[in-house]
Amino acid sequence: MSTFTAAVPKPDSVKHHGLLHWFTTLDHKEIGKLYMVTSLFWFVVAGCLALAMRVQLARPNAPYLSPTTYNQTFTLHGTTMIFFVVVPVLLGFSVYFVPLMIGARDMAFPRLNSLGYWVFALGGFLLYMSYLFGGGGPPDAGWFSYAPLSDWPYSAAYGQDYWSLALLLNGIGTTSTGINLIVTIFKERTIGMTLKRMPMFVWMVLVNAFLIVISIPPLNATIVMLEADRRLNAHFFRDAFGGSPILYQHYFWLFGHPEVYIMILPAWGMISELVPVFSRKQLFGFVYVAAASVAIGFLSYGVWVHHMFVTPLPRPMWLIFSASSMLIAVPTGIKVFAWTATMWRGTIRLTTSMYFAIAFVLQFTLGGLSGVMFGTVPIDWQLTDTYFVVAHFHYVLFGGTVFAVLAGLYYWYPKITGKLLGERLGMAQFWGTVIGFNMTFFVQHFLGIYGMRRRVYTYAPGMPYWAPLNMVSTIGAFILAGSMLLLIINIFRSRKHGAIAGDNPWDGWTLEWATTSPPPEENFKMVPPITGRRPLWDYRHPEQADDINPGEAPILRQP
Amino acid sequence: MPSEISIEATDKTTLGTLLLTLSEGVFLAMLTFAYFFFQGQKPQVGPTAAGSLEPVWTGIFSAPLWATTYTSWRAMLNMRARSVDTAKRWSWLTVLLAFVFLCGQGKEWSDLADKRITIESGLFGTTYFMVTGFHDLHVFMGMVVSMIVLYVIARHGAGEGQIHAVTALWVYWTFMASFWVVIYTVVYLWSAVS
Repeated sequence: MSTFTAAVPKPDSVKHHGLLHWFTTLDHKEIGKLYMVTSLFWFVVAGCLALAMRVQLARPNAPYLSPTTYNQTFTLHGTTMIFFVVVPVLLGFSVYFVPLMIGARDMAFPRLNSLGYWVFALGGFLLYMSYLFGGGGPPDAGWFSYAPLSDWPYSAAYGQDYWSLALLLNGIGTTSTGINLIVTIFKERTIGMTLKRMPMFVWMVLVNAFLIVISIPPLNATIVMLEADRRLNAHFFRDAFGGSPILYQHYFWLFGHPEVYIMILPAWGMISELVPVFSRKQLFGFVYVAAASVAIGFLSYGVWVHHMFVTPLPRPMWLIFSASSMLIAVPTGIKVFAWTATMWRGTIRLTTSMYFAIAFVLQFTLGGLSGVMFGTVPIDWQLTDTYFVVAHFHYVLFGGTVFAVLAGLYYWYPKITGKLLGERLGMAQFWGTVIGFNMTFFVQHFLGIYGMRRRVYTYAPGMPYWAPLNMVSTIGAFILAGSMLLLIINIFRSRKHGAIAGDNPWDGWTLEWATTSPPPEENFKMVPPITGRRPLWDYRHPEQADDINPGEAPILRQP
Repeated sequence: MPSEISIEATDKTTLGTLLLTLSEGVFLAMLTFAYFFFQGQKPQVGPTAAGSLEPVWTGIFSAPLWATTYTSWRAMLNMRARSVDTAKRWSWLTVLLAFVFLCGQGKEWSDLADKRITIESGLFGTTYFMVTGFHDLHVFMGMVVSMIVLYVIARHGAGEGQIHAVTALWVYWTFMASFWVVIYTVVYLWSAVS
C-alpha cells in the first residue's frame, strides 16, 4: 500500500480505559458502535412488546393484556422502533462509515457527535422510566399521539409527558448528529473526493441528514405545543377554545412523512454499496440514483396530507396530495430499477449479505406498491387505520430498512470487528427472517381488507378469517424472533470464534476497505489517492479504472 | 467577495451554525405559523392582539436586537484583522443590545400580565407567548454563548477557532434579528393593521 498519499495526524484526545472509556470516547467508530448496540438493545425490548401483542391477538377474546396495557404496549413498541431503533441504527452506520468512506480522520465535531449519542440515549432511558414514574403507566396514545387523545383530560398520567420529553431529547440528539454529518461530508473529504466521486451511501446519508435537520423541528414544535396544552393550559389543540386538533395532524405528518425517508435513505445507500460489490459491476445509473435521492428529499415534504385523507379536507387537497404521493414513486422506482440492472448479467456472489439485499429489493417493492395504493383517496378511505396499513409500513420498515441493515451488517461486520459473521448461521437466520417476516405481515394485508382495525386489543370469534390469519401472523412473529436470536448468537459467536476477515474480504472498492479491520483510531495510516468512484479498484486495476482524466491515474506516489 | 459564501470557503463552525439556524428557523416558523393560523380565524375567543400589543413601543425595543447584526459583524471583522480588544468591545456591545431587547420583552410580558393576558387566557395568549418566548429563549442562549466565546478569547487570544466562533456568532445574531423581523411583522404590525 505504498501508493497512499496523504498522512493523517494522530489523535490527541486522552484515552480512558474500561467502562469510563465508553462514556468519554470521541472516536466516531466507537460512537457508531454505541448507536448500533443501543439500537439492538431497544430492538430486543420493542420486539418483546410486539410478541406480547401477537400473543394477545393470536386467538379471539384472549385474556392476556388489558385494553390499557395493550394501548401502552403498542405505543411503546412503535415509538421505540421508530425513534430508538431504526433511526439510530442508521445513524450508527452513518457515523461509523461516512468518515471512513470519505477518507476523514473523524467527524467534523467529535464532541458534538458524543453529545448527540448521549442525549439520544438519555431519551430512550427516559421513555421507559415512565413504567416506574408515569403515575399511571407508560404513554398509551400511540406513536403519533394525536391530540386531543394525548392532551391532559384524556391522558392525564405523566406517561405522556415522558413520551414528549423522550422525543424532544431524541430530536435534539438526532438533529445534532444530522448537522455533524452534513458538515463532515462537506468539509472533511480527503483530497480528490469530489461530490461526484462520493460513494452512494454517503450521498444518501447527506440527503438524509438534510431531511433530519429540516423535519425534526416540526415534531419538536408539535411536542412543545402539546406540552403547553397539557401542563400550561394552553389551547393549541383544544377545539372548545378555538384550537385545532387537525393542526396537530398537519404538523406531525409534516415531520412524519419525511421521517419515513429518514428511515429508508441510508438503507438504500447500504444496498447501493453492497449490490455492486457482490455483482462485480458499478452501480447502474449512479448519477440518476443520486438525483433520485435528492428528488425524494424534496418531494417528501409534499405528501404529508395523504396520512390525513379521512379528515375534512377541501377537494383540491385530495387531488394535489394524491398526485404527489404517486409522483414520489417515480424516483423510488429509479432506484429499484438501478439495483436490478446492476445485478443483471453481473457475476453475482451469493453471500448472506447479498441474500438479504435481494430480499430487500423484493419486499421493499411490495411495501412501496401498497404505499402507492394509499395515494388513491377512495382506497385510503377504505383501508385507513386497518391492518393493511400495519402490513404496508412493516413491509417498508422491516422488509425494507431492517433487511437492508442486516445486509449492511453482514457486509461491514468484518470491517468493524476484523471477523467474518458465520455464513451457515447467517443463511439459517436469513431463511428464518424471510419466512417469519412474510408469515407475520403478508397475512395482515388480508386482515386489513377483511376489516380488522389496527390497535384493537381483541376481537370476537365470528369475524371472517380473523382467527386463522392472526394465528398465522403470531406463529410468524415467533419464527421471526427466533431468527433474530440466531443473529445475536452469530454476532457474539463470530466476535470470538469467527474467521479472520482481513482488510478487504469482499474485494470492495470504497475507502473503508483500504484500511485495517478494525480500523486504527486515526482511521488510515495513509489515505489512498482518489481518482474515481472506486478508488481501490482504480489502484488494483489502473488499466480498467473508472472516470480517470489523463494525468490523474493512480501513479505510485510516496507520502 | 463571492468566494466567501461558497461552502468551500466557509469554515466548519460557521457551516454548522448555518445548519443550526436552518433547523431552529423551521422550529420558530412552525410556532409563528400557528400564531398566523389562529389569528386569522374569526371570531376570536378571549383577548386579541389588536387590543393588547403596542407595536411602536416594541419597535423601539426591537431596534437593539436588529443592531446586533451590525455589532456582531464588526466584531467578526476586527477578529479577522486581529484587533482583539476592539472585537471584544463589539461583542460585549452585542450582548448588551440583546439584553436591552430582552428587558423590553420582559416589560411587555409584564404589561400583558397586568391586563390578565396569559398563556391560558385564549388563543392569542397561547400563540403569542410561545412564539415570542421561544424567540427570546434563543436570544438568551445567544447571549450565553457570546459570553462563553468572549471568555475563551480572553484566555486564548484570537486563534483560528476563535475567529470562526465569532463568525458563527455573527451568523447566529443575523438569524435572530432577521427572524424577529418576521415575528414583528406577523404579530405586531398585523395587530396594528387589524
